[in-house]
Amino acid sequence: MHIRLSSLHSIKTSDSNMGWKYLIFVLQDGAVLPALHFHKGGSKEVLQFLERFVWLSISPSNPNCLQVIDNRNALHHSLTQLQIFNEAPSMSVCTRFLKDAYVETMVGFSRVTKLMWDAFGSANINEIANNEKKIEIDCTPGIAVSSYEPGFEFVTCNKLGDDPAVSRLEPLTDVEFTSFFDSRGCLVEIDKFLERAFRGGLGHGIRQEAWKYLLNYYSFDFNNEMKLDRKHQKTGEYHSIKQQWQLITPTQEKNFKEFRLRKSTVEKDVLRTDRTHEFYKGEDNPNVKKLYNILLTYSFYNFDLGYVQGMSDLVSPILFVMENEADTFWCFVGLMERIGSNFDIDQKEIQKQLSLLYGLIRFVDPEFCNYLDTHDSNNLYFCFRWLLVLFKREFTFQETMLLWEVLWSQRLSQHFLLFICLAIIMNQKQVIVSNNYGFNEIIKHVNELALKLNLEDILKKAETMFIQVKRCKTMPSNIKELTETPNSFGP
Amino acid sequence: MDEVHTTKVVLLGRTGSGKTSLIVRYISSVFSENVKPTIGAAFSKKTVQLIHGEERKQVVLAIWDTAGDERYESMAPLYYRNSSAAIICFDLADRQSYNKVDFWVKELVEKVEQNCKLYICGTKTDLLAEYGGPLKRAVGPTEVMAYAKKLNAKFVETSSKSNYGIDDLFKLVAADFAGFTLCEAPPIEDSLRLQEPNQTDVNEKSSCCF
Repeated sequence: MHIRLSSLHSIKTSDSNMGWKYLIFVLQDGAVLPALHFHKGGSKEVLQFLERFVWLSISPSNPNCLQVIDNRNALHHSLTQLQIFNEAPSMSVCTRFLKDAYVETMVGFSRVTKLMWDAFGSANINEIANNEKKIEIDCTPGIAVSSYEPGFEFVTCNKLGDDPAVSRLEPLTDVEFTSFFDSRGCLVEIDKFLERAFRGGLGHGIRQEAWKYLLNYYSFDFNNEMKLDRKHQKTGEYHSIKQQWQLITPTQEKNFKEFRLRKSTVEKDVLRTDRTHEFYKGEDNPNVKKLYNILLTYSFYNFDLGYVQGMSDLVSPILFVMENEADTFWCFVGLMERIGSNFDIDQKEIQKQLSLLYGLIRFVDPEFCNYLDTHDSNNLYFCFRWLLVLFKREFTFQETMLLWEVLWSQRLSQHFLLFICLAIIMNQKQVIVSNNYGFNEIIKHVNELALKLNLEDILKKAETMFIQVKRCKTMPSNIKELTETPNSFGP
Repeated sequence: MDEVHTTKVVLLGRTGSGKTSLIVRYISSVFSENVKPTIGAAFSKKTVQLIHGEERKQVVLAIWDTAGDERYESMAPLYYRNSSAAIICFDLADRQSYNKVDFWVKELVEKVEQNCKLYICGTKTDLLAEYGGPLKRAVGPTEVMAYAKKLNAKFVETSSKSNYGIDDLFKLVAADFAGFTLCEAPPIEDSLRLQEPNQTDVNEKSSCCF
């Protein structure tokens, strides 16, 4: 249930003779929402909070009806105070409420009651979990009220409904892959190819060819000749960019601090990227040198971005698949076209994604979202590494390649990564809540999940949640965008 | 009963200065050549027992490891806020790494409100020629000590590989926090004695020990 404060017309309250209070929200367009019953109190507090944002005045004709007079100024004031990523260790009730006003939407009244519960109740979360009793409100499917604490109730909305059946397949084989091409070498069965990449990943033998499509090095309509041309042309281009830094003389280097720093950072990082993997193992491994060349060349291809830590993690599997420098370089360029802004110094893109993920958690589980709010973790920084290097640190090398194929297929949504994050977070929710983890412990716990996660289970769960969210009839526009399937395979 | 205090310690420093290795050695007592560059941040905890005569204290160190890449410096405040101690690391054989120390010192002095004790930590002594390694010092100890003195910071040297000076460093941090005076000198001035295989100076240490 969402209510825009600005669309609220009036609130009907129960007669004082009645045993308990209820509130009925009437919207500007005449719509009447299902009654919210407060069997053990709390309605007064809800109204008090609402009064921070709107004026409520008793109707002259009906003492049980409160008329809403929108206070734009109050709302505007709250807008200017918004900080999605509030760094203060704990937000005041008021600040949290202002945040809600900013989104101008209340995702179910669970938040209101929860806010007050946080503010006044502050009971141990374990107790709450034990005390949880769900009471269905009559005639209002999809809304459940649970009693958590005397005087307060928990309204849970956005029940996602049944788990839709999802299935995963074996990786795409080379025989199947070959059948997707026409006689000239054009990949014509694009849909089938992307669907298979999404649903099962790719067999290792076809990765070298297939990743070139997924990373926009090749177009699907390239025939064999065009592919050769592309490779030839791009290999030349790579080597000329590479030469630019190779030709820097020791004197030039001495006078070029930025280059020295960049070079030494790349050097330090390639020496500690996947060095336990067979492909990069041992001293003087030529593949480590290749990795170095590609990264330094990229920093000359994209001077502004340069080299940023995390990039070596992204190039490493690509080089393992491509084996040669030039192909790896251009595939990496293709990848950076999509996610390069994650590495921008202002962190805006990462913040944006974290905020989208926050919205997603808020949508599917406002209760847990409130937990994160009240445990100094609503900035979701514990997901930073996941987003930045596409889960490279969380899964094995093999699993990472498969996961990337699922993402790169852009099959369900360009934001499927966020649903994978959501799936993992939801799986960990129980542990986080029952141990009452805060900012420190959540980061520690999440970092320690590395190599302990089951990829196939998580992919299934992510897809399930994606379908569940997508079939919700009403949702905020930012959530809706996340569930939109792109019309065509894009850069 | 023992008094228990928790204090937040943050490690800062240029990429590759050995922050993660230092923590891994301290927490897990292991050294790996294959520690990956830190992305985001990492958190760990360890309890230090302080015993001084009849007085006993437990200090829980809540340790934050940070990413060294300059691109992520904007996130650092999230991890150093409310720290009561900062260990600023630099690679003893890398001048670039030392040059970064002053950046962090200034940042902390400027941004951290409460009193944050500073520890300048030269890492990787095992790489230095004087310890049998292949490299020479990129910065003389007198220079660092003078710099540390000016800041009222402490200077220590460590090696995560040969497990040198690490426990002492964290004990020092805990003791400073708890207001314990150490009669043991910090590792740098104490290096010779610490390397002796048999510690015969029991009496000397008995007045204050961990």
